[in-house]
Amino acid sequence: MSRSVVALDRLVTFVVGLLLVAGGVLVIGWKYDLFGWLPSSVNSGPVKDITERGWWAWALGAAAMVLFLLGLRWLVAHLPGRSKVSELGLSGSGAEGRLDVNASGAVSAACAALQARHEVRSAKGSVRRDRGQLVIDIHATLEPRCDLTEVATAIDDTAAALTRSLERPDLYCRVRLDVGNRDRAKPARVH
Amino acid sequence: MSTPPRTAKDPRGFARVTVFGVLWSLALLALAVVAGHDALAYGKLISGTPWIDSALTSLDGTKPLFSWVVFAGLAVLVGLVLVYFALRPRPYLGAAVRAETGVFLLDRGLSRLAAAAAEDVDGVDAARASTSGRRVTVDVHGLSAERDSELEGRVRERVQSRLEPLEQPPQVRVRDQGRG
Repeated sequence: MSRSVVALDRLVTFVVGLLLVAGGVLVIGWKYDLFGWLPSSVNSGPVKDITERGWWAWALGAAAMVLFLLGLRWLVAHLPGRSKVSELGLSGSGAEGRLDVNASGAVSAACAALQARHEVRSAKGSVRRDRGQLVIDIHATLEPRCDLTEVATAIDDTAAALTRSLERPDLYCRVRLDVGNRDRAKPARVH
Repeated sequence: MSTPPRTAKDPRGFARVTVFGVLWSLALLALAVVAGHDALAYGKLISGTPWIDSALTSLDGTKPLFSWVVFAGLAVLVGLVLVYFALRPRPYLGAAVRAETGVFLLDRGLSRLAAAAAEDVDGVDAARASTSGRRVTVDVHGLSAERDSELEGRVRERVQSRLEPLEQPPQVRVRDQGRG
């Protein structure tokens, strides 16, 4: 999900929250005569006059179209998986043709290289857009008795090789490390 | 040999406010249905009273009732909850590990790593750890019936040493629960 969608969700939620608080306070004040400027009963006459104008039906029709399109666009923006990037453009693209690299394949290969290490139980990842950055996002599960320094060095090397192969200096990297259960340890291997 | 990519922003949890975003988008679609229906009804393209007209007629002349105060109180509470979720930042999910690129140890991983480190200490039968903010609490079951502060010290030292590669190692608290 993009940053702008989350920002819009925050803004609208904040405004709706404030409106509910203000509306609630207004109704309580109205019931107990705390606000002298409020009428004693609802008079919907002026609003009804507006609904009887000739342009009202057209205005409602236009509003229906706009609300429908905005609502649908906003709903679709919440669909998961839209931040994932499957192909990355390479330098050298031009009018003669475009050079793309399969980002998922490259990251999967890097994950496989990490997973070949005995202290990494599993690793998977993708390239995604997150908070304004193009991020190599990897999730790895480690063995409970791993050495974090060694793992970090291995990740640095793997990430460097991946950036070199993707030829994209604008990439950022985030590797999230989890640690597996003791009872599901990877079987020992002899190399 | 090229350099590793730059560190991305910290891993953050799910922004719960997006659940409300989905609700608001559905509310817009519902409003569009009401507006569309009433546009056709006001334009006399379909029969029946416009919904907006019915609502205005039923509201006309009403005075505030006590039941409205109850709903108003609920609306204030819901509004405050919405403001809280709108302002609530996405939670941090892990701690940064010393590396040239972005490497983060998730809180659950940190707990399991600490528990495994504690179990490697001589005299520890079983260990369990939990992480909260910048603190790891390790509960160990030693071999003696009473609390063994010397064992706690050794466990703390081992866990701290295992978590040394973190950029900001958390505070480690060890409690010996006695024989398990």
